[in-house]
Amino acid sequence: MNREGPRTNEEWLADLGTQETRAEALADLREYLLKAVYVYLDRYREDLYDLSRSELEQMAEDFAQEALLQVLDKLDTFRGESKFTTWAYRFVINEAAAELRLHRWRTLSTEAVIGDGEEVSLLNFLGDIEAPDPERSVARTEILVVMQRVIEEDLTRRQRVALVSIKLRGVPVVEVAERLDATPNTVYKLIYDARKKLKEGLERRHYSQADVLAIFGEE
Amino acid sequence: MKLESFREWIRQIYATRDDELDCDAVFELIPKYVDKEVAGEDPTIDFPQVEQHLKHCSRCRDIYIGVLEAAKLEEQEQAERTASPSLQL
Repeated sequence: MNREGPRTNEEWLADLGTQETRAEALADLREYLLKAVYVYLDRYREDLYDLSRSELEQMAEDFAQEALLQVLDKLDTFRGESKFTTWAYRFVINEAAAELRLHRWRTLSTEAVIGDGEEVSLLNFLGDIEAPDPERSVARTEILVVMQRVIEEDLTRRQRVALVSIKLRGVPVVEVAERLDATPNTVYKLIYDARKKLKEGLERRHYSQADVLAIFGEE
Repeated sequence: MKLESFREWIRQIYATRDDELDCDAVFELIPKYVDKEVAGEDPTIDFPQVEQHLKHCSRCRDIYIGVLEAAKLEEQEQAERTASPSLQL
């Protein structure tokens, strides 16, 4: 970057939209996006240990290039309500985040990742939750039974698959979306609906948040 | 699932609201949220629903942190250039 200082939002739009300045503005933007990717990848370097330096660089270049195309495609939606570069960063981070998460789960079968959503035992997933006394142990079981019933009877299969995969198995949203042939936003909505039904189920049985947290309190 | 994770899940369940934003809406608001934070303001005042969503959604939280780190780095580099004009690239 050979400029005196950073571009304003207006300058970014003008430079990207003008034939004479476009190439330089694109090169500068690409540099910003690359830096953003490297900061992001650095946070996940332990997951990327199997990649060589040149593979990592290629990966970063690909993310930046893909994001650059998205930025140009969405340029007319930029309203100037944030810094232009901050607006652009989310495209490259989104790109990198999706790819990285898929990278980790790609080799596993769909059933291994999300199950079939049919038989779900909450107790199996919460097996290491031990109650400090018999009374509380009974109370804990009662709450888990309520939750189990909601999961089995009130949730749709897709809501159940999404909830169990993400909350209990720890599978990333992006991966569940891929396996369900849905967008991450759709998966978020499945989880939202599941949460809502669980809340209604617990409240219907007169369990407040304070009650449940007290019963599952640490001692 | 560990006990503390379960307790956090319970908090999330009870924090469920009718007016939650979805991922697409939050993706649009992340830049404004981040800019406020980088400027030293509290973004949760203007965008409480974004904060709420970020608590529930690990994917959006990951993107938010990535954008925040990049924006902070840019701000820091700009401050260094301003302090030492000779370092201007």
